[in-house]
Amino acid sequence: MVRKNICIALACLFAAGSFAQTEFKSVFPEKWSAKIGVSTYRTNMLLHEGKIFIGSNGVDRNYKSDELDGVYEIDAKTGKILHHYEVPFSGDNDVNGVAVGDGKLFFGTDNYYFFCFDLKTKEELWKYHLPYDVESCPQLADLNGDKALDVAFNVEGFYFYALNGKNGDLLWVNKSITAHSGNSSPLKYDVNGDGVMDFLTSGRGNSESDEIDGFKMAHYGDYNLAIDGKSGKTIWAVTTGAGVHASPFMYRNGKNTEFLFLDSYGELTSVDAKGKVLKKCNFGYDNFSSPAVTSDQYLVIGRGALEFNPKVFYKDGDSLPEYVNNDAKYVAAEVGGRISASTMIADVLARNSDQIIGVTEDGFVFISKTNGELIESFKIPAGAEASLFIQDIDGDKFLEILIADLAGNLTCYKTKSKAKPTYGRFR
Amino acid sequence: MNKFLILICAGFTLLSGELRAQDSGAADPYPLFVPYKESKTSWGYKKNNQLVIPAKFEYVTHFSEGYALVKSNGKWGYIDTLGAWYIAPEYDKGQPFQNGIAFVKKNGKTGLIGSDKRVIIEPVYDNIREDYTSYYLVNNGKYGLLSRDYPDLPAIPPVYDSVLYYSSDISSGKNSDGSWDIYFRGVKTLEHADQPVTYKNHRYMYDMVIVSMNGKYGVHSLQSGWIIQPKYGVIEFLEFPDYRIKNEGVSMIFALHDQDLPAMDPEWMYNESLKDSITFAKMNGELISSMKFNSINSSYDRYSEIQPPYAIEMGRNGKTYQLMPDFTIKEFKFTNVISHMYNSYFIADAVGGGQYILDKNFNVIDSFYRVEKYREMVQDYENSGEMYDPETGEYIYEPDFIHKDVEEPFLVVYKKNGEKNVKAFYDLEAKLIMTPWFDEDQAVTVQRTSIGNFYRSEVALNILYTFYPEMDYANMEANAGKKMGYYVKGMKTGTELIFQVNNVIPVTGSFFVMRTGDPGKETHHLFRYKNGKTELVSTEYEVDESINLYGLASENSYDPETGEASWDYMPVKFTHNFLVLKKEKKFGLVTFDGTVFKPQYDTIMQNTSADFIVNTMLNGKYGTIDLERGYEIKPQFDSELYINSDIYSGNQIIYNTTVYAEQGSYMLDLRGRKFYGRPDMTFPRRVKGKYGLYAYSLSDMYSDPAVQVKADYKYLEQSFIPSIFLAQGKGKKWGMINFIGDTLVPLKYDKIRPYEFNGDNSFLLEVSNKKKKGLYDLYQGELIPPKYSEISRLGDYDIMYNLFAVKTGDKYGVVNINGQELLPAAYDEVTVLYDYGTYVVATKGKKKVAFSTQYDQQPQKLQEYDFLAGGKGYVNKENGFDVYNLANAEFEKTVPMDELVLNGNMFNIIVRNGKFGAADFEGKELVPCVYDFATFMEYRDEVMIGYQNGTKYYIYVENNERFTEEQW
Repeated sequence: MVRKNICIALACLFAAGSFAQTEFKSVFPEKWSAKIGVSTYRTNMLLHEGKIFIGSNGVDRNYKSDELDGVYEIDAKTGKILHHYEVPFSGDNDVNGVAVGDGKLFFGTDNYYFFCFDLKTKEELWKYHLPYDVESCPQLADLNGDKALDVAFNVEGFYFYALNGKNGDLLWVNKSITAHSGNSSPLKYDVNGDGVMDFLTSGRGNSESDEIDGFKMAHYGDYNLAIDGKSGKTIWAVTTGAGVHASPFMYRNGKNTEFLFLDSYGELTSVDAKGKVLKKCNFGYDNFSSPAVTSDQYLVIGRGALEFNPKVFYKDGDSLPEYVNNDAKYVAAEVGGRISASTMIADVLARNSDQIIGVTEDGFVFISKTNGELIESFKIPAGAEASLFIQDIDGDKFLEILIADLAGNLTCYKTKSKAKPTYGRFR
Repeated sequence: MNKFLILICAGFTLLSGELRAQDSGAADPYPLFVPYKESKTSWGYKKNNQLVIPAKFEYVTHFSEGYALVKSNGKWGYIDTLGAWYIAPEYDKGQPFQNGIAFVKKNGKTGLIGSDKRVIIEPVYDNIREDYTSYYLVNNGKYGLLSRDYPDLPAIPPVYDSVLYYSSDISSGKNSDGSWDIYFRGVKTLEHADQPVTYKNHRYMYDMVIVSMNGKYGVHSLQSGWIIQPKYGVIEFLEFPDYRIKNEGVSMIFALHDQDLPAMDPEWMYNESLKDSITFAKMNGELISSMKFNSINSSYDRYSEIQPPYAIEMGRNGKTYQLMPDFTIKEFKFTNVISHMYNSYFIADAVGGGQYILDKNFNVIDSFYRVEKYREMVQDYENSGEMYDPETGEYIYEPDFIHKDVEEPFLVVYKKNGEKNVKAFYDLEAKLIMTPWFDEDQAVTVQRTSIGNFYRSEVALNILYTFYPEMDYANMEANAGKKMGYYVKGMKTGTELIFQVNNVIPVTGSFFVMRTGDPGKETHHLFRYKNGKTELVSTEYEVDESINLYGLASENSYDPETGEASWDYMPVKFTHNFLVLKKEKKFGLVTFDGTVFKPQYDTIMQNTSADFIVNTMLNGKYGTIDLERGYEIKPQFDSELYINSDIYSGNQIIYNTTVYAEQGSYMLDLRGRKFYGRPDMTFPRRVKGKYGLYAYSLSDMYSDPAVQVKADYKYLEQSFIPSIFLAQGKGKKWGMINFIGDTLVPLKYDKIRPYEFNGDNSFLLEVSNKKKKGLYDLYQGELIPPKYSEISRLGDYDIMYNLFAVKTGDKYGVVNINGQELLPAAYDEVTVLYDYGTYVVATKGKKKVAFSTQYDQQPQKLQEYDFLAGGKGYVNKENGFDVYNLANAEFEKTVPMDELVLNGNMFNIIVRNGKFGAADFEGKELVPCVYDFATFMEYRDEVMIGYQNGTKYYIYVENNERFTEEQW
């Protein structure tokens, strides 16, 4: 249970155009744009061998025969669509998260399937039938020791699966809890030190409590958990107060590795590799953005940042977890629109220090200092749910910014920065 | 899955391994059928590594819901597990079945098929969107809609810029010009409306919607066209307390506004500047009145605790009008109306001055110069508290008092009296002045007390008002000498202030006391209220409350060291209130029931063995008064009479009396009657051809038994109840007497036998005369006179316990425990139905009547039904059914034949093409509609009873297995 809640004064929502007048492309010139269909906050983008891979929800997320559904392979330099990976049969073939490795493309759909395609031949290698949609990003790792990448992912309302990357055979399925909405993309890390990647994710199981906690139940049955990559068994699980849409974030706090989980009612839990809860703090409702931590120890969620250094934490008694004290500052950018994209951390302004950069569903991009103070916000043609992608994608040594918007366009913008992004992509 | 236990430190969670909250089952019910790729374009299926379906398909998917989507020769179709075509490959694209449907594509167009091969949506659309309620059909960027609840109904064609789903019946499509077409069950019912149907302009229980056309509003019935032509500036739904129409007793009317006001203006209904522009119409469009109004002042609110007698109040040219529930309009001639007693009465200004007292229907009761509510002084607990006294250094409790409006059936009325005004108190129910007139400035306290015997219904309750100049609570000494008067209904007016103001007026039963005279020399006026009249019983006694009577010690202590006993005088603890009468050192009393025992005793005090007995003493002798029954035993005994609790509390005794301990060799009952043996030692004996009761003396078991009851009966026999005897009188009729000879059941029946015995104090007997049966309760007397051939309880518990099915001839009726006939004996059968309530059901031929047992009273209305289900009664009509609420037999609605759905616990009964069948709760047919009639089976939720061609069947709905009566 979170002891101390931070009183978050979230920014008021400005009407579009009333605050940010500067067009994004006036500062970050547009390089190219491709029509790829609608994306979501669960969408990731990958750069592989000079190509961008991105999943699409098509023209309309609810169309049952949508020609834009699938995965796009795009030339990172020109924006030309090199290939459109499509599911050969009808249905809601929306794709959100993708993974690429071993010359293969892995993705799940809203049509109850998980696919593997050969990047070279573009042919379907295998597919696996599922009980429901795959909403989040898959993770790749060698789980069975055959020196080939296998794939792990969760299924909305159902379980956590690991499939053999070579042939799609089931390696294991963790049925201890369901993935609930399945929106949280797993994180991979060798939690138990056995040399095989494990997976950190969130899901819903049996509630531990019938008690009411303020406006809500004390526990709906949601957990943040670690799953053994080898066996699929649950290594540990810690409770959280509500369903989880955000994805976990790993950061190094000195020598220690911490995993941050954020639930939809704003409860942030920091857990070490052994599952010990280290810290807790609380934000507002409706958190779809995943947390991230800057190198100067600011916790970034959505439009704002919170001091996250040891001095703002205190222990209640001798035992963990620590809580954020009331003096800790959370600074949020006043920019219009809801934010479900995760905020990236990179020096896009070429100032030799990181900024945090995010996008809203109303069509604003904001760039703030790592402490949350807004530097500037910009207008883009359409809002976006998908997190920005910030990397040097074309090898010109400068960072590019990719924005997949709700109008169905993927647009590449130039920067003048040669910095390496601290956190430049969601998964 | 292996279970394991994980220990987690602080902040961790103990995990048992079973966190899973749901198990939705396997994704694929045919997991063994694994797609097998022989080559790039050769797919089949393997099962257990064996090829079971040859690789003859270009592409295959997994089996889903029994079938697999496969591609052959460039087209898609579905195969079964044998590899045979279930749906031939005709589609350009297909989707594996999910939830019984699949989207398919043909010639570039999208459609929808069901796993039962049904074409739900023809593949003629560019695309289809799906959400929880609807399929959105897309063509050329235009939208149409098909309701998921009614896929068989026509779809709204995809010709709209957008479509808006409102309900499964109602949707709207937006035209390019911004206007809306409205559809009802797939049929266009209105074109080019200014707005779609939303919750703002529609009420779910009605099929009408308020829409505008070219800026003018009307009311459109979705099934029958314009009810009110679109010519109004604004139209608003108003709730109307029309209790003839069922929907929680509320219907709707419309407020029609001529002027063109913004529809979103929330104040338009209350804008008095709108001249003569508001009219009202019923739901059928009929204008309620030709009058037009300027404003609507208030309207009906079903959720309000206080409901005025009118539905709507309107304003017009400075006058106020009210629309009544019967649709009449009355001018309301009053202003500044104040509600009293939650709209039971009103105070209002009169035109031209003065004020009226109005009843709940705004009829004038009386008028005065001024009328006010009475305000009483009450302690303000919020502000009362301790005040610091600096002089003493102590905290003193200082109660604070405030005035508060009293919502009682009296008011303060004023009249002019020369230059000053005077006031009095007005009884609203009797409609008269009930006090003398006081100066206007005089503070007067009125107290209202109930008098009467709450436990005996024959003494009616009444209200005693006492009134006096207001008490000075801060200075009680100042109240000395204040006098009061009183008023009781039936009096023409109250008394003058001639009685002493005491702290409490002892009001007991139907008595009350007023005192006149100076302290120490008062005269006590003892009044009795009875039969609507107040009479002065006496002024010669001093009257006191029994609570002030101290009696013998109820506790005593004994010190063993000193050997001394001490008595503590304690307040008495009588279970029944009474008044103490005193005169010239003699004591008497008045019981709660009104029995007067004049002051004749030297003392009265509590009996130490019973809380309802008063000991009386006279010249050293003891007697008793039974406060509950009013019995007296004159003082004649040397010691206190002691109730024998063993006998009283013996579990065999059902006769509600008590006996005293032995006085010598006999005992006494509460009336003082002697008897010689305990009830259980009493027996009948025949003496000289007659029977009496004898008893062995408790003190001398070996002596001859003594006569308890004189031998005067034709026959006596110990009955089935201990100490109660069946007695036959001279006329050979039977009754029952107790061991002491009291007649418990009059000797007038041919037969008496136990109806039942429930072990408590109540005992029910079946009595009969001339072979007609009735019921007699040993305590309460004859409940049901003997006039039925059969009597049987309808149920075993609750309200059913007090209802009886009675038979006369071969017909049945229903009678309650009080003998009141709820249903005449005119029915073939009477049963109980437990179905969303508890009902008595009586059948006459093919018709049934039913009424709720909630109040075991005669039903106010009886309606005949053809069948009953789900707490409703149904009457067959030509093309449907009239539906009634079984609880009150009120008509609810008419349901077309094929829309009838009877809600069951495990399935619903549906009607299609005039035939009955069963469906699950999603509407999927489980039992085909082939029955002429069907109903639920009592106590078997899974079974439907169906009638087909005169044969009755019992049908297991789950698998549609049926049995005839014999087979069942």
